[in-house]
Amino acid sequence: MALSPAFTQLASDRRAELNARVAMAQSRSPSFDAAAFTAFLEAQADPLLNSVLAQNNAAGSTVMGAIFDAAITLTEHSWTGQSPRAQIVRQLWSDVLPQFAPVIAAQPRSTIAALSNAAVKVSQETGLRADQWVALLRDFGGKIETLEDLRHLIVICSWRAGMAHLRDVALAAAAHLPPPLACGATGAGSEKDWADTAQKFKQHTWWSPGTSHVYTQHRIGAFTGFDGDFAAPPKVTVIEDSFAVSDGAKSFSLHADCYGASLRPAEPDDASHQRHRGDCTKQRLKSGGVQADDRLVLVGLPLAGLCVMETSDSIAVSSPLSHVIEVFPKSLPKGAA
Amino acid sequence: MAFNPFSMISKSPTNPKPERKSIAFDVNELFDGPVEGADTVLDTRAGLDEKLRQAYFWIINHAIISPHYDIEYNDAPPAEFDVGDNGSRITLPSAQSYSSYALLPLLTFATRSKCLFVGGPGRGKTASAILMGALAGYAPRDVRRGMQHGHPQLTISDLLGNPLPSDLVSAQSMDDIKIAWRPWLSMRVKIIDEYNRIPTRTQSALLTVMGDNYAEVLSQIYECPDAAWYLTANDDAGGGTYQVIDALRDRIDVIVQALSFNPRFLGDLLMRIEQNVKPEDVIPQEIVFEQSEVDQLVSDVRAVTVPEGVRRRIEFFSSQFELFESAGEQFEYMTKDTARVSKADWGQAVVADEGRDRLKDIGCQTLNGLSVRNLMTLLKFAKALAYFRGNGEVELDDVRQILPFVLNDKLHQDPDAPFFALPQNAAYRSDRLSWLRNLFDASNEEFDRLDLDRTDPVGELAQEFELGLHGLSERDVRKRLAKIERLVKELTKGRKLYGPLYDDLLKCKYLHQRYTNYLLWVRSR
Repeated sequence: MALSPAFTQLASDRRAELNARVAMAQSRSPSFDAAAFTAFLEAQADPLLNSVLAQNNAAGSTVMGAIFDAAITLTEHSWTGQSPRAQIVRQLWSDVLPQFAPVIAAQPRSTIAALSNAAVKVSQETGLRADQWVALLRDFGGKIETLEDLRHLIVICSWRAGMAHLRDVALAAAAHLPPPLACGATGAGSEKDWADTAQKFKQHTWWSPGTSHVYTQHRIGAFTGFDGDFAAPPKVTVIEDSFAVSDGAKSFSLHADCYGASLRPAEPDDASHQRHRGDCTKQRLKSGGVQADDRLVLVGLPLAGLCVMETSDSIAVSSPLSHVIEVFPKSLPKGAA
Repeated sequence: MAFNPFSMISKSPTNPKPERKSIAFDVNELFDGPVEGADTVLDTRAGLDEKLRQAYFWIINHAIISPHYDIEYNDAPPAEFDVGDNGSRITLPSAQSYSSYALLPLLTFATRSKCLFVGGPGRGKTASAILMGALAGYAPRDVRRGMQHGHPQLTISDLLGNPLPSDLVSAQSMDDIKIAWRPWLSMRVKIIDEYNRIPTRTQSALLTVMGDNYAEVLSQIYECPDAAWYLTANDDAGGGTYQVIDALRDRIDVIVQALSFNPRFLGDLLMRIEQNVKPEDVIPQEIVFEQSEVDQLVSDVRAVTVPEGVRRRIEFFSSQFELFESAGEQFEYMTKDTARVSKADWGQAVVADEGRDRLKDIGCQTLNGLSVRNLMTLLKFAKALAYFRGNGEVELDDVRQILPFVLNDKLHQDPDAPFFALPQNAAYRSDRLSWLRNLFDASNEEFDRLDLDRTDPVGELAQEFELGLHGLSERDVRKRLAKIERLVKELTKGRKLYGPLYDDLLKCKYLHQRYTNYLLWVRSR
C-alpha cells in the first residue's frame, strides 16, 4: 500500500525532522518495530490525515506532526502491528478517529492522545467489550465538536462497554452534552427526554433504557494464572451497601449495573469496617439457583459452599471452588422501555 | 515546528507522596497512557512545584549530564559502603535525591536570586545559565545576546549603555541626555559570564544593578525588573583577571560547583553530537514559565513555613560563629566582626582567646560569623527546596542540604584552627561543602545534647515578652525582671562562654532593658 500524495508531500517537506524522530525512538526503544510503524502509517495514519485535511486543509502540518508522533509512541509501546493486543488501536484509528476530524483539526495532539490512551486503557480492562466501545464512539463521533465533549463521550462509552465503576461519572458527563446526544450516548435513544432518562438511571442501578447490550447477570473474575485478578477464589463481603472482594492478598471493590461489572483495586478493609460487613447467607439458595426477590436465577458456579451476598439492589454469588463471581439485580427494575 | 527530540518531560507526580488509595475511580486515569498530549489538558491538579520538578527532571534527563546526586535525602537508612584505604564512604540514598548543579540554578530561578557557577572551563556553566534564560521563555538567541561577557576592557558604558551622541552635543543639562540602555537590563534572567574578569570600576556599576536593581549613567536612572542572576567564574577564589570586590561576592546567594565529567556517560555525549541539538533550543513548552508563573513561584516559596523547631536549630547554629571574647572588652563587642573591622592581628587575638575547647567549639573553625543577608538567603533557599519537594513547611533536612551552598564563600575557614590539623579533617580544607554540612551536624548534635528542643528558658522569656506589655503592672514587671536576672545568674554560673550562650545572654539583656524602660514609663504615670 502506498502513501497518499498529501501525506507524502507533508512528510517530504519535513523529511529530515521526521526521520530524526524515528531515529530517536529507535535509540530509545531497541524493540521499535519499523515495519509495523510503516504499515500503521499506510493503513491508519494516512487515511486519518486525509480525513482531517478534507475538513481543514490548513491544519495539515500540525496534524501531520501530531499523528506522526502518536504513531511513533504507539509503536514504541507495541500498540501497532498485527498482534491481537494492538487490534483495538488499529480499529480506533481506522474507524473512530476519522469521525472526530474537526476536533482533531482544532486540537490534534490532545484529541489523538485522549482517544488512543483510552483505547489502551480499555484493552487492559478485564471483561470490557472493546468492540462495543469502538462501535459506540464511531456512532456518536460525528456529533462531537469539542475536545471537552469528546472526553465526556469517551467516559460514557467506556461505561456502556462495561466499566460499571464509571456509572456516576458517566451520568455526570452526559449532563454536559446536548440532551439528544446525552440520551443517545447513554443508550436511551436520541428522541428521549434526558431529565427523565437521568432520573430513571439514578433510581435503579439496573434500570436500562431497553436498547441492545443490556445485561442482567454478569460473571466477573478469573485466576491470575489466566490473566485474571484473583490468586485464590475470592470472598465477597458487603461494606456500606457496596460489594468488597478479597482473594486474601488483594482487595477490590465490585461494581455492577445494567451495562456490566468491573473490579477496582481497593484498600484492604480496616477494622472500622467490620461492623458494617454483611454475612454470607444461605437463605436465598434454592435447588438449582439463587432466589432473587422476583425470580429464580440460575448460577454457573458449584453449589457446594456457595456464598450469597446482597446489597440493597444487587446480589453477588461466590464459591470457594471458583475464581468467578456472579452478580445480578435483586429485582428487575420496572418500567424499562 | 522545530525538531524537538527532547520533548519528553517527566510525568506527574515527579515526587509522589504516600497517600491513601481511594476506592473512587479518577476519570483522568482513563486518559493516562503512552501517547503524550492528553496530560496537558487534563492535569489541572499539578501546581507550579510540579512544573518546577518536571523542569528539573527534563534538565537532568535531557540537558545537563550531571550524574552527581549530592543533595541526598533518605526515608529509610541508606546503604553505605566504605571504599579504599582511607575509608571513603559512598552512600546510596533511599529517597529522591538531587544534583545540586541542576537544582540550585532552578531554585535561584524560583526565588529570583543570584547564583554563581564555578568550575573549570568546558564544564557547561554558561550552557546551564543559558538554559535558565530559556526556561523563562526567552528565545535562546536573545539569552545569548543578553549575556554579558566579562573581559578586562569592559567599561561601564559597555555594560549599561551609552548616552546618545546628539544629546551629548546639544544637551543643556544632564536631564537632557538620553541613554541607550543595554537590552539585557530589562531581562528577567541576567547572565554575567566570567564575572571575575570584569575591571573593578565596572564591577561597582554591576554591584548597583545586582544589589539595588537599577543602573545609572550620567545621572540617568534605569529601573530593572526583578530577575534571577547567573554568574560564572572559572575560579571563585579570586583567580580571575581582577579581584572580585567583596560587596559583589556578598550579593551572590548560592555557589554551585560544576563537577567533573564522568566518562561513563560518554555515550550520552556522543548522542548529543550525533543529534546536533542544543538543549536550550528544544525546551518543551510545558516547562517554560511565564512571567506571572515566576511571580507566583516567588510568592508560593515565600509562603512555605519554617517550623519553630527548625528555626531554633538555625538560630543555634548561627550563634556559634560570631563570639570572639578577646576582640572586645564590652560584652556586645566580643565579636569576630570587631576584630576584623579593627584590623587587629588575628593570630594574637586567637592566642588571647582562651578558656574554650578550641577543638570542640565549632565557632573556632571560622574567621567570621553569619550576616543578616546570609541568614535571609538560607531561609529563602530552605523554603525553596521544601517547595520544590512538594512540602508546605521546611524540614531540618532541607536546611542541612541547602546550607553549604548558601554559606559557601560566606563562612570562611580559619586554616590555623586545631580542627583542621587533625588528619581525618584534612579534606575539609578543600571540600567546603562537606565542611559546612559537618558544622551543621555538629551544631545539631550539641543542640540535642543540651536538650534545647524541650528546655529553652530564654525562649520562654521571649515568648512571654511577645505577648505584649500592655496592662502589665509595676509588680508584674519587677517579677519578670527578677526572673531574667535569676536566669542570667544561672546561665553565667561556672560556665565557659560559647556562642549560643553569648547570644542568649544578649537576648536576656535586651529583654531586661525593654522591661526596665517599661517600668520607668509605668512609674511615671
